[in-house]
Amino acid sequence: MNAAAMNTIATPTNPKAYNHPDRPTLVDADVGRVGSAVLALTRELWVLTDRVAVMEELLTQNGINIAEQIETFQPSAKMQEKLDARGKHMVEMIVAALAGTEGA
Amino acid sequence: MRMTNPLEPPFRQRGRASLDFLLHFGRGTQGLRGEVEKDIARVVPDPEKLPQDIDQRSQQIEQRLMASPLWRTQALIGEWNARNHGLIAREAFEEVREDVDTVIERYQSQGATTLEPAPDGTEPPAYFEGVNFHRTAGGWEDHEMQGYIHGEIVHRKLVNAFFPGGIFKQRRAVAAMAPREDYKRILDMGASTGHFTQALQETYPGAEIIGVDLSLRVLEHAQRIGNAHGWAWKLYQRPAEDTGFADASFDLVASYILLHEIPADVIRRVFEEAFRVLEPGGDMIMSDVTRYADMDKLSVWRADSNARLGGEPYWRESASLDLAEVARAAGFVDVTAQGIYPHVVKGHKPK
Repeated sequence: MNAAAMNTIATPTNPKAYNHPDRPTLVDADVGRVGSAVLALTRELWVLTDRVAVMEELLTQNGINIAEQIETFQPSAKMQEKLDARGKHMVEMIVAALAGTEGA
Repeated sequence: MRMTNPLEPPFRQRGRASLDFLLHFGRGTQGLRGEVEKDIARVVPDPEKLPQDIDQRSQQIEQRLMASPLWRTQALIGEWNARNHGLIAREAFEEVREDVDTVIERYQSQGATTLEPAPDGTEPPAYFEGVNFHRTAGGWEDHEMQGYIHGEIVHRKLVNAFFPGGIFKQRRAVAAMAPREDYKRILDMGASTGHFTQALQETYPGAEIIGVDLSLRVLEHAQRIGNAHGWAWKLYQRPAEDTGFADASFDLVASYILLHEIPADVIRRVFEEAFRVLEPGGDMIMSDVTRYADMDKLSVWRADSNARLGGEPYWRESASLDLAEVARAAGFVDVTAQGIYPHVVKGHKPK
């Protein structure tokens, strides 16, 4: 066998298989770290929650009492429609990531 | 006569957005469910060859599906929803509790609808006690306001959003299937939070309505519904199979989607009790979930699996019963059974 033959690289018979390679990601042993990541995400969510609360308080101190308005706000039908579409989209993105079907 | 609902909770932002999120969850996973169906078709190319035994069938299908990341994702989502929907509804209620306490108290204490709890020391039947039907967090009895939470939040806000035309329209359609134009005295077996009781009252406005249920918490909410509409229901915390009412004291006995929440032997006793309390010539109309006999093997697996994972311990034995046969065995004549969902059985007591 000469050097050229040794270096021959076969053309994939199904190049489209490269679009979505069968790539395992997490295994059972990763579950503990997934739990840690969820807790880390909870911390970030709290930081954001705290920030919104601080913003409401500062607005109140400056004469704009928005907190109670937010609490009791009931969306109009038009706004509810927009919220529903955004909520559905968010769920679809998360679910696609979980199922591994992003962009499918 | 239909009115706006004075018991509607004035949600605050966290509760409102969290409940909306559950609805987004339902709608945003429809695509996934469609894809899972394709995987089911792949692993079950010939449903007729599935095992006859339902447990073996479930094991076989679900084992094969575990290779599908889409199925595993759907399982994760279903489990999260089952565990959390009741808790989220409860939290949304706690947020507005002070705002609605007055309204709740008013409609529980003021009005013509009465509620008689079971006597102190009454033991609930073993088939009921401690069972978290629908996997409701803590079951029907754990939270003192579970009736309000279930009726106004889980049922009216969440479940209602996923039924075409709404669940209340469906209840009114079933109530109207009883053969006569008017009734004098109607018994609603398994009245729960009063949603079917309301349909009966709206359909037969001149009738006196009596309701029984095992759960005091749900009956408390039925009482609020009755009073909020100015009706004079008489509600009793009693089992449908042993109501304690006099023989021949009703001209219509009805139930809506109660039967799958009780074991098969109790269902037979419920029909016998309905027969006993009906006057000669009186009518019976009971409705329940789709019969397994009306489904193919794959559909039975779906229903059975959803029941097993959805807090429905008696669904299989109930859905496997021929309700027309049960009604005839209890003594009813001219029995008919029709419809897929709800499946409605009717008959009357001979004159």
